[in-house]
Amino acid sequence: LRYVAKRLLQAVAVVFGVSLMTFSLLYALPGNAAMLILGQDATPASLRALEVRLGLNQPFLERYGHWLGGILSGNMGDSLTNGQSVVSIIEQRFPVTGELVLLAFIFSICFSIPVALLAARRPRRIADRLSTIISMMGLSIPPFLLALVFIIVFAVKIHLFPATGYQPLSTGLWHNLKYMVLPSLTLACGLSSVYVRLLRADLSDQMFGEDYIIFARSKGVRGWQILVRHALRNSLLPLITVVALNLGVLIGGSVLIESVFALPGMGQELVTAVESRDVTVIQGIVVLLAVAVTTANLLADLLYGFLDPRIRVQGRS
Amino acid sequence: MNTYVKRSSLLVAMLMTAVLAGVTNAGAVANTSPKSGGTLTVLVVAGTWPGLDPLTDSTPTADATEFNAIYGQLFEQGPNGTVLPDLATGYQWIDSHMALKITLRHGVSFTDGTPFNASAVEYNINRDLTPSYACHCAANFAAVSSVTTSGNYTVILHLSRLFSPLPSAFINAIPGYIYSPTALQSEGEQQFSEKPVGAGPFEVQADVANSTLTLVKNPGYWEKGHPYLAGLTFQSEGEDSSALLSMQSGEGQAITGLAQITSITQSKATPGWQVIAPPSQTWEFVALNQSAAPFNNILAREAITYATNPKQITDVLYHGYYPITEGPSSAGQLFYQWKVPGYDAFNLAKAKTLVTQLGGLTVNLQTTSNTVYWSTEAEALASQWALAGIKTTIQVTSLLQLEVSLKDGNWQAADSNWGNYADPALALPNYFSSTGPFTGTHDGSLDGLMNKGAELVSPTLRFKVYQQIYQRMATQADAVFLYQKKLFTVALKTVHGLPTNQPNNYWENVWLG
Repeated sequence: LRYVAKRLLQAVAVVFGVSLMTFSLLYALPGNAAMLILGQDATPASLRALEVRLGLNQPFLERYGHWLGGILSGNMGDSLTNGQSVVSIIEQRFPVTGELVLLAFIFSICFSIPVALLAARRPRRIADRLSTIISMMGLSIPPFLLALVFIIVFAVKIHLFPATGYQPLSTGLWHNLKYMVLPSLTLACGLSSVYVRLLRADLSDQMFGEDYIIFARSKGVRGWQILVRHALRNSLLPLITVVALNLGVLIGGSVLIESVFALPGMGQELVTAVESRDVTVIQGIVVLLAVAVTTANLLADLLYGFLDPRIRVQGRS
Repeated sequence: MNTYVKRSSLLVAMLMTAVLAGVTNAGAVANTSPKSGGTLTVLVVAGTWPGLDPLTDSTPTADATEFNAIYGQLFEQGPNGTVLPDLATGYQWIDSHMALKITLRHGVSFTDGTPFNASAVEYNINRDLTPSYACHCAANFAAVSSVTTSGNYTVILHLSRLFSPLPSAFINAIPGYIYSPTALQSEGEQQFSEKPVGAGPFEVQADVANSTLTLVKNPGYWEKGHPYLAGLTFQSEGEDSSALLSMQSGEGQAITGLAQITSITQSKATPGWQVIAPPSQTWEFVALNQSAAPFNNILAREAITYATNPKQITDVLYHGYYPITEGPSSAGQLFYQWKVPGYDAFNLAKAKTLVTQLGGLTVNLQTTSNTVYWSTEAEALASQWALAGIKTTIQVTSLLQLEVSLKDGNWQAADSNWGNYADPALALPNYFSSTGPFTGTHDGSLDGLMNKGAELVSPTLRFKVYQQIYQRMATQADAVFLYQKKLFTVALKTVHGLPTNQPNNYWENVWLG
């Protein structure tokens, strides 16, 4: 519990630091949302009026303090560009990105564990070589191009999935999934390739270098059982670390995927907010992402203890 | 992300060409008499509609197509920059042109059942012009001192000074979109911006901001038999290729906002597709800052104008789609005149002579990273100028940074397009009057002519004034004028009623067949 409390405190410090840094960077950039909103229609009077209305005329500390005070009292503020509350924007957008990231995670794990097991079962045989080729392709093809290839094959040619767009879960699970399969597969591809390579290498090390494997073999435990019950459990530890660290990569990747597949997610909203210098929306989303990433890493640390009893014992001693 | 997308576009273009060329005919063109029913899905490239209340929405100009569908307008755009009636039936100048009397259509209701009348319009205009809202329309309506009504169907705008482009200022702009005051007051601004109430051809069924806007036919729409469509959906697309593939897969029947000319050529070559390219209201030019060196010297301005070959740029970069212009004028605008006497049209020999006379010329050319064509165009300009001995450094920045530079006077040359107004009196002063926010020009004579152009009401007299304005700008080499940038709509041939004579889509006239 003390460890968890310490990690939570660290997470709060990280989130605070991220918010302050983002705010400072946006403040330092030339121009502001009022200029961008009014664009070619700006007059000095209308520009001043809009800056006052949006609170952009206030000094840095006052603006940041106002925003921070709002956050601590549960108010993330309103968008500078359309007046919508940031909470309602996140409520609209988070389910899309959350589902995209979750499905990508599920697809990548469901693909990488069996493929890595097959490859590690018989190294340098056909399954291993095939997994290497597929992984290399997954790592080399830019996600943008892969997305278009998926759209051409599965939407334009086969008509199995829609090309772009989004339907919420409330319209039905299958209806929703039809729109999410291609984006999440695209996002999962690069990740799966990393996971396959990592897991396969670790499984091979375990299978051919560890005493407990030799011991299990000498007891007559069959190859597949050793691989799945013993080696895989140990190899999951580094995989969990990479998965947790990759959450940020996944969310970053979702920006591009959401753009190509026209998904109304947080990535797309973040890009729009950055382009329009909508500070409150940027701050809201960045803080949420920082919380998500720090939480994922904390959960990964806690999972180590669950998977490896030695870590729990070390922690107690 | 944008750079990444741009780099990938060449690869994608090849892939797309193959796919689009291989498709079968998307459907035979049916007879062209209007048919009712069906839902049209319009894919809007890089489309964002943060809110649907025109006043609090941050991008009302870009969202005109959605607002037109929901609210209609007091006046619509006609061919050659003319003003056509819509929810207003007409206008008349009174009080020696110091007041504009607008007459409204009878028997029209908002979709919440409340009447569309003079008091609703008065409420809208007063709210829209409240200074604290900082309306995009503020500059164009600055001359309006008060709004009154006369009976149920007449609204009078009283002016503090003569301002003849006022009727045009309503088109595709606030306060041309009239919303229900009752709905706004009962819903509150926040909810209203998500589910607004207008008197246009369609009403909002569902909206996911910046993503999907689902509209259904307004059964009580004033124009009998219109709209033809039972439903209209706008879906935002990230970039050209995904929009083209979406249409290819049957998820949309029309695309607006395509940014790359290759997308237009591919669409044109695709069986069953049509490309609509109405006359433009936007002109591309290189602005020159006359407040600082080197362009405070007219010889430098003349040299760079002579060194520019706009025809080559439109032919090579834009496959000849954009007609060239020698002044701030496009075919879709009032007082159009592309050939301007006294303009320093491309002449490399003269450019070289002037550069030699100047002892060399070095230029910093700013442009924006918003779309790929601007940086490509800047490179093409730099190559042409190099032939005349002009050295160019290109500075690609965000649109906001470019705006800041222009406002601060911290620039030499900027490649941009501005305008999109039917009446030149609404846009020209922003870029060429001594007090304009983005101006590099400080010419008292030109200021006087622009003021005169905005005061006169007679179209004949105004045309003469604008001819003088274009000529003055040409002889002073105020800017390098390039071409008339068009806005394209790509649609299946089964989509009818898209206008070819003016640049705005009015969806109430569109049908599927």
